[in-house]
Amino acid sequence: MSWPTLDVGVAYVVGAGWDIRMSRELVISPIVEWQHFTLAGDRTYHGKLLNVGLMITWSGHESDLDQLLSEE
Amino acid sequence: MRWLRLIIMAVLFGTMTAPLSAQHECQCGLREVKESDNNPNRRSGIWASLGAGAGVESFNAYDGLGWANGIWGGVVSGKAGLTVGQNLTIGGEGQLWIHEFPQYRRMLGSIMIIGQLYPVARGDSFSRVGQGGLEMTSASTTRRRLLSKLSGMAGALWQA
Repeated sequence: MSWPTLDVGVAYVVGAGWDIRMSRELVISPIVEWQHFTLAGDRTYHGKLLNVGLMITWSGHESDLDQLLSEE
Repeated sequence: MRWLRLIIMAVLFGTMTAPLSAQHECQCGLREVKESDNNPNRRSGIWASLGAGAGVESFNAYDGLGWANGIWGGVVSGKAGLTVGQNLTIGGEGQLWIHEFPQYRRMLGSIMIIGQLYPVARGDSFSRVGQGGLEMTSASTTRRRLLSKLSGMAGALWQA
């Protein structure tokens, strides 16, 4: 029975993108990235994965932390 | 001449009142200059991100056949981290690539430590690098095929 197969290895990724600010805390980023991996299971092989996509990012702010701490 | 006098009066009135209005808007005196005054919070604090897209995967098993043809699949990712500075954010990322074949599903997942480099502190373009601590693939049969295998095994056991 060949289910499931699971190969584990190491990988690295490089990519590039652009932040499009939607609001003070939200950013949408188109991104392109290249991933290369080496897997070792019952066989050893190299793979590559080229991704294109969108990221939506929420980020906090240090000033918010300052306000929170000053209220306490 | 009367028009000329009116224009001169208007100019004088404007030059006298403009500094007054500017003074009204001026917030003079000492005040704390926050980083956000100079930099409208480009990057700061913690951050979390969700991503979706598409990716083409290919592999080389070094069996003399070279690189396999690329296969498109869907990609989802999640990541979170900290802002080190206006030029660098670091974090952890989990990513999953999925392609559904008629008989099985192929998945490629990774967990990585990543860094996003912003060459210009106030800019929006970035490059990112990451090193994966775990990369795994899984080629799973569909539920129907798994059930047929299980029923076949049960039948063989019953006959035995």
